[in-house]
Amino acid sequence: MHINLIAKREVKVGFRNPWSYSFMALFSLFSLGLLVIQSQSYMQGYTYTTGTMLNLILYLLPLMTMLLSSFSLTAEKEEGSWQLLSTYAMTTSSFLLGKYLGQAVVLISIVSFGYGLSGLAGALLGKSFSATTLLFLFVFSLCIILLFLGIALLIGALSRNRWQALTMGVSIWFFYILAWPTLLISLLSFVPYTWIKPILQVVTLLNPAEFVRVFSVARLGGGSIFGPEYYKWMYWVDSPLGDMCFVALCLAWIGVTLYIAIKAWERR
Amino acid sequence: MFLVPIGIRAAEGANNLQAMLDQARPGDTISIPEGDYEGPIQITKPLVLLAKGNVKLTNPSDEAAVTIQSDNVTIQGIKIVDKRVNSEDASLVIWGNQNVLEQIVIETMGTGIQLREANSNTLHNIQVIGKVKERGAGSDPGHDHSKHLTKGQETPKSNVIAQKGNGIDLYDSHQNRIIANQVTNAFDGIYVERSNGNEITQNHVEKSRYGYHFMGTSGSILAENTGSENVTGAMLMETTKAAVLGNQLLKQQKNPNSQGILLYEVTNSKLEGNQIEGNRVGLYLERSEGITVRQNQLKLNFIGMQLLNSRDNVLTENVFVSNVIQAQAQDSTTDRLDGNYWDNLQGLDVNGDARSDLPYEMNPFYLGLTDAVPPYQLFFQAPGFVFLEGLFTNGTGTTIRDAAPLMNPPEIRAHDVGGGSSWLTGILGALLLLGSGSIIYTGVRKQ
Repeated sequence: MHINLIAKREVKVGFRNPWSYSFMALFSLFSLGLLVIQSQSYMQGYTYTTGTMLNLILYLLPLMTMLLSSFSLTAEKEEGSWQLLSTYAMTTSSFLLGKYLGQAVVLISIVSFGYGLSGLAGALLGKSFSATTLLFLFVFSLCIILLFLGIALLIGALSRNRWQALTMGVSIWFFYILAWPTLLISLLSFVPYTWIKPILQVVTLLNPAEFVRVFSVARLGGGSIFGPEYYKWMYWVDSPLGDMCFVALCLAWIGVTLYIAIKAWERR
Repeated sequence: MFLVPIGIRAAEGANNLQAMLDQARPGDTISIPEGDYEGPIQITKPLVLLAKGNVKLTNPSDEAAVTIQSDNVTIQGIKIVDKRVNSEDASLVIWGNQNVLEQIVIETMGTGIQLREANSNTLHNIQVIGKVKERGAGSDPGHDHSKHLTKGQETPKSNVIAQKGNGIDLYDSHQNRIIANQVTNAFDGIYVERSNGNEITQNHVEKSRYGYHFMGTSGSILAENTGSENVTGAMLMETTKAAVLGNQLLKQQKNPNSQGILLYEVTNSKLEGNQIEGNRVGLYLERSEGITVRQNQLKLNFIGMQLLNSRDNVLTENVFVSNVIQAQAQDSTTDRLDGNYWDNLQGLDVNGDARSDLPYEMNPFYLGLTDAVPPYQLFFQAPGFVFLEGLFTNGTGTTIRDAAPLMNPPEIRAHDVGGGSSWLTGILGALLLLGSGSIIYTGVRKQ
């Protein structure tokens, strides 16, 4: 019950936040940009264009998610509304779950607006994405949003104010998106050769941006590009069981980050 | 016991066929009446065998269904069904010269046709269908070409599991013409070893390991063939003076060792006008010298071209379009490489010669890294890796580069971009827009 109320309040507050609209404008511009890129080239399967699009989305969406949502949580502390809310009989878990759902609705609306706009514009101008590509990009973005939203709430729970949240969000973004291969390559140079592959496989599961990307590339039929080392992995990812495990992995990620966020929130 | 009458009839047929051959004089033409026959058949003198209607030859023996040990034999229009498993001999074996095989269908559990010390034969319009079922794709992580070199020709293991054979297999056979044949589900579609001057044109190989496989050949011509969904389209190893012209190799991408065309220790050969599309790696050159690569189209491959340890090659007028990575090179510093078209080039043509004055550089970083530690291939096109690659490329000056890339592709082909389902996209877009709009509206307004 409380979850529902909190989620509704979150959606309302979310759309009164000017930040949401600036991100919406940015994302609409961005998805129109994707439309222009794709109209120059090919979109069937894993190509230069699809690879570039996935990367552009990976640059923008995690950062956007982490900033918007962690700010919404720190705002509760800074503006004192949590103190007010906590006088009611409400558990932390229902509060944070409500926040999660509300934020998810806000972010998904922003992304839908952007893709909807470029889909419609493309159709009107006669050089659109194919419907499957649009759907694929949308689902890919959805996964990124839902996974990074868990991280965002954790950041929000751990930070005292917006500045801390900003610092932490940008660091995590830098760590997961930009520095990830560099750090791993340098760290793995210290372990025995035979450990590299298993370690790499395990840590990939710890980076939502990576495992969503690898899964998406495999889904686009590009799994073989990761080489013989991962052949069995790709074969398995492509099976129905792979889908189920991917969903399970995503749910586990969201569950674990939310659980830690709830614990962290309660300790304050 | 109940099968006896049929057995007798079939045996009679077989006896008749072999008897007919035995009675015929060299140079005779024999019409084979429609019906089922049993092998094995031995042809030891110049004869012309023409099938009248459906002639089906089954092979209950352990020998090859048809063996030709003569010159100037012509066989036309028969169908061979061979159910032997893991046998050394192919369904049809030729030891002789100037023979002509036409319109033959072979269903086999092993190799379709073998040419052994056989020269100047013509194989035309033959269809070889491999009947060995694919084992689970997970059990065969593909084939590493570098290991292949040491193994030579693989002999089928004699265990219960049937091993695929080659479609058409040449050994020590020269100047043969292999034209317009089709091979499906074989080990190698057309396998040529230690054989020179063979001409292989207009064939089609699909769902096999290697489409066209040359080992230690000289003066081979591979022209206007097509290949799709093989592990590797065309593989040339330890070969010299080969001409690979106008072939179409599509969708070699499922296997982690897939390539469109692979050259390993190939010298003085040329690759021209090939269309290499949708492969894992379009064109792969390793330890090869004196290769001319001209006017090929490399499109929609995961990696367009990889060069390793190769030198003195000329690569020009090729078109690289929408490959995830266009080209990579390592230790191949002396290649001559200019005047190709790269569709992601940020070109600038100052003097109006239709060539960019900014070079197109190939990055050695990914190849070098994954060569040392293959598991790092997982970082292929990861956003952070692209970033890292950029850091390592800038200003190193040691990369392979196309010094004068073309500003426009040599010939502009009509591409079908998008289209078709645009109204569907429009509807989907409108739905998304409507959905988010209504959420925003109700979210903000509701009180």
